Amino acid sequence: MTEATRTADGTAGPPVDVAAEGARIAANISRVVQGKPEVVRLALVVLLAEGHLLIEDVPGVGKTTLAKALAASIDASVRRIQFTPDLLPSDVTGVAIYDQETREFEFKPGAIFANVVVADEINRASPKTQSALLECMEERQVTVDGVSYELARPFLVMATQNPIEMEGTYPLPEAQRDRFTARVSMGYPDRDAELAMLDERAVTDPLTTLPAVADAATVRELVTAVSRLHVSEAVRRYVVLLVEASRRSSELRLGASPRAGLQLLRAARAAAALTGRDHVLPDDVQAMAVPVLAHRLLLSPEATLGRTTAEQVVTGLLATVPVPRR
Amino acid sequence: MTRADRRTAGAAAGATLLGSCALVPVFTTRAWLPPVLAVVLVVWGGGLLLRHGGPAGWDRVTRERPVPERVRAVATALVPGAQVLLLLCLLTTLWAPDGAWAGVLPTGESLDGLRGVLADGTVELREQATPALPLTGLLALTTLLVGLVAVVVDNVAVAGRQAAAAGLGLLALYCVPISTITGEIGLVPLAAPAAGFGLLLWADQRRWLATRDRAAARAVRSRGGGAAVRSGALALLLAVVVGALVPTLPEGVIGPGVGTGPGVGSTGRALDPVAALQGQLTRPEPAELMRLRTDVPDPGHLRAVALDQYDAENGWTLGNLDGEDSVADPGAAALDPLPAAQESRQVRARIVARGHDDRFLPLPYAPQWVGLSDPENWRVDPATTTVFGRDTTTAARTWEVIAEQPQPSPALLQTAPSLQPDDPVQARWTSLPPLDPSVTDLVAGLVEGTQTPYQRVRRVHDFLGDRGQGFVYSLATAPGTSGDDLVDFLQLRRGYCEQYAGAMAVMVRAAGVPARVVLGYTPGRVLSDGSRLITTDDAHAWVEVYFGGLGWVPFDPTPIDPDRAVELAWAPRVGAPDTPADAAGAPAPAPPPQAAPLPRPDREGAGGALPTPRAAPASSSRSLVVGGTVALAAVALLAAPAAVRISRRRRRTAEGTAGALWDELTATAQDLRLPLDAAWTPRQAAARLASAAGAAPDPLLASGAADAVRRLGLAEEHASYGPAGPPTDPERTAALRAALRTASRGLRRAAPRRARLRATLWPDSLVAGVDERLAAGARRLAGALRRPPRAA
Repeated sequence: MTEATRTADGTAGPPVDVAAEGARIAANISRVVQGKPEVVRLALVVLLAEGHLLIEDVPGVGKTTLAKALAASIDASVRRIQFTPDLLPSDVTGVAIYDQETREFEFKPGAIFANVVVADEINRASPKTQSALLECMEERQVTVDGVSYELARPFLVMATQNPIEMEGTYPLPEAQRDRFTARVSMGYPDRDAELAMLDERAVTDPLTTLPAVADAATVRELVTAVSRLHVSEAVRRYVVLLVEASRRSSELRLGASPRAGLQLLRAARAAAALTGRDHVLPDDVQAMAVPVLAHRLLLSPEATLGRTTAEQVVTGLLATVPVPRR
Repeated sequence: MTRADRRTAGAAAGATLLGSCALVPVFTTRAWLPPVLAVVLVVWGGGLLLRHGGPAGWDRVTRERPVPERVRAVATALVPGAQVLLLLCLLTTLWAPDGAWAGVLPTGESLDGLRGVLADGTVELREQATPALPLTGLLALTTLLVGLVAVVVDNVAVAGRQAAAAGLGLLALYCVPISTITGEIGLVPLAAPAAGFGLLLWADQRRWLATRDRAAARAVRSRGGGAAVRSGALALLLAVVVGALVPTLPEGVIGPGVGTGPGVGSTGRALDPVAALQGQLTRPEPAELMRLRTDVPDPGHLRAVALDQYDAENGWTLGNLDGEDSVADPGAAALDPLPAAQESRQVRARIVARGHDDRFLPLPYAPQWVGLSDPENWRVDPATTTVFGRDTTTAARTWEVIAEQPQPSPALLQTAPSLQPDDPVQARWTSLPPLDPSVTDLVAGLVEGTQTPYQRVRRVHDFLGDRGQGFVYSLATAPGTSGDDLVDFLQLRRGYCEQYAGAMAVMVRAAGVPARVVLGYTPGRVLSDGSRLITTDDAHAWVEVYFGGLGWVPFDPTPIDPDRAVELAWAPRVGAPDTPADAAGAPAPAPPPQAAPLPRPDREGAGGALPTPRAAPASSSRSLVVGGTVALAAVALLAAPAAVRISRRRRRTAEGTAGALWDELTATAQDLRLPLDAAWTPRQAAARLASAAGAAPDPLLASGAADAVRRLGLAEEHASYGPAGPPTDPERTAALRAALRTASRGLRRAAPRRARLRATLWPDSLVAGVDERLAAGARRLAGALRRPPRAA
């Protein structure tokens, strides 16, 4: 633990300098994922909020690169699962094999046993396999033949997904999308970033030379520090108001779940810690609302016809729900 | 009911009592005090009982379940209703116990009685000038007014927790003397209601501070001194400036009265009968007023009204008439009973009004019975035997009179002793303001060596009627130079009946004998059918003097035409009969042309007594007063939002917390109509306001204000969402206050002038709040009224 730090606006920061550590990791990732500071920051927020990240975009925009860069930046175990239609649930969770010599079943851990799991193209696997992964994400443990195996901490699943319009996919059902703390779209890089990328990648893949700037223990400390951040009653009330408003919205068929509220607050906490504050502001909640809430909401048929997106609905909620004070 | 509530209720009752001290100069006696005290106690006690007993009863019935908000609201609304019922019971007990259950609980019959008493009160309100006699109806009205004020003050202060607004109720009491009394009001009526208001504010502050922690309370208390001094200075400044600007009435402009000197006519008293007489001298023909038929050839004077008050400024004026009894009242055996020792003869008269149209009924001396078609509308003032119509006049009426005319012999009068100084008649009818030394010297010289009151009266009478002294009868009076009408008359010795009668009454009083001026008519001339015709020429004024054991006896010092003169055996005229100095060729002196022959001692404009429809100057001056009041009220109303806004700003600044200061900043922004959204976080709002303040014309102020706004936003953010920090640091509070000042200045300077003006006079932050509260109230009401949804 370090001394309490001072932030730019004069308020006291948390004991562990989450902001400095976060900035180091983000800078490191940005060496590979150029021109996307917001996406990088969101990935960090999800990591510190002990959540999981769904990266959704067309192929080739760097989804896997982001996941790999994050994994490489924290010196932790990384596993990558390429989801295919023939992938079995046991490939993910692991399997108990009978050992002839010891005459016992021996557990062979699956790809999920790592700090950072990159689930590539999750929508290409069968629903059965998808749900096996999602159960592990939620429970943070694997149960095979009645025996439970704890997963590592920190544990972060970064699933990438092609937009559902693509052929040969099994889109994630709504209930399972709710398990992801946040969804982010990579988007195309801007012209300069793309140009720089073309220059660098001509010679080597920067991923291979990316150094680790933090280890699992540091990340665990950061997570603990984030969970201790002060959240006032007013901010909690604000989260509840937002979630409630989404349930009342006429543009939505399905509003945000209580879990959505919980994860919104966690994400806001992490975001606040990353800016170096020792308390959460409604501004943090607002900043996290779109990535945390949008992918969980189901639009009403009218809204869909009107080409309204869930992001727009969330932004509308933010513009109408009054911010409580004290 | 909390202790603070009880204290506020006590303060409200005390404030109402102190406020009712404003009534001291309104009445002649303190008879109003007991009922007012009773009504304040009843309202106070009733409020305490209901507010304390209600919750206790609820706890007992529901076994201490919490009171639902709706029940609480209904109970709060019921308290004033119950207090008004108690007030009604008290009024019934005091003024209309007949027909009431147990003399307390009103019934239909007792309510009718009470209504009658209050209706009488409203009429008396118009009849009585201040200080008014404590007549039954007036007392009932006063009790009702104070009771209602007590209910309002009590509920606004206790239930509404708005002590300052409750002070407006006291203002209603203040208005009574302010609007009715022309002279000085006195210190107690001025200071006592103010003290009552102070008491209310004190209780309110105690309540307010009790909800704060000690440190904040001390801070407010220590800072309150400066604010109080500033408010006081501002109020004083306003009083001086506004007081100087508001048009006021010069004293005596609308003062009525019969002048006592020749200069009266020139002083411009439009309502003064003397001035009216002089103005109407060109009237070519006298107008017929009455026909009189009597059973005696010499019926004597017809008296209409007695003027009992004298002051140098207004001359002789009419005091308040006690109209409690009507001429029909069976209780009054005789209207004007004569003392047994008095020698008299009976006179029967029948009078028919032709052009006469007046509130005062002309009657021969001394009326014992009056026959009228509507006797209940004709009231008697027993002290002056003035019979006057309540909401009616003599127009086209006929009335019959049985009178006992006093016919004392000089020998009998000679036996009348001087009254004791403590005799009520002596005290009331000899009171005089300090007179000019020349008058007192003259009187002292005249009465020197006399033994009896009659001798003194005769000396004065004979002096004024003596042509040898240079007294002449003349309607053309010249203005004097002394400034005192009486002195002028006694020097110039020209005048007519009003001057003579007025001067004699003053001089007789100065000689220590009770006297008053009477207005009425000489009996006119006999027509061929034996009846008498009384015209405007017969209007006259004379004097009545009181003799112990004999009652009031008329004296007429005016040297009028012997045809008109009434011969009084006890006061024979001196020397040869006189004729008016200006009578040759000139029309006979005539009262005003309208059928209002008598000088009207009307003080309506000054105090509300005896209204006269033709009193145009009085009504114009009243409209001036009303206009001024309305204008002042309008100004006060316009300034009210600004005043409330300033008080809020002070309260928030005094509180000094980040939240209060931020509230003040956003309120300022709202006043300036800068867009602010409830869905904005303090940081976003601060950013918008900072950019708005950054547009101030002075770059230094702009950047400072923008910084200050951000600082306030951060402080609010931390106070609202941050972990609880150490107790507020005075330095930081001071810095934040300074930031608020800078930020507000920047925001205001950045706004256009019109927006600034509107923000000051019509602050949106207040008005919008009122709107929202009204809307919330309406929603609550609608929610309460909405029926439960019907089952499907």
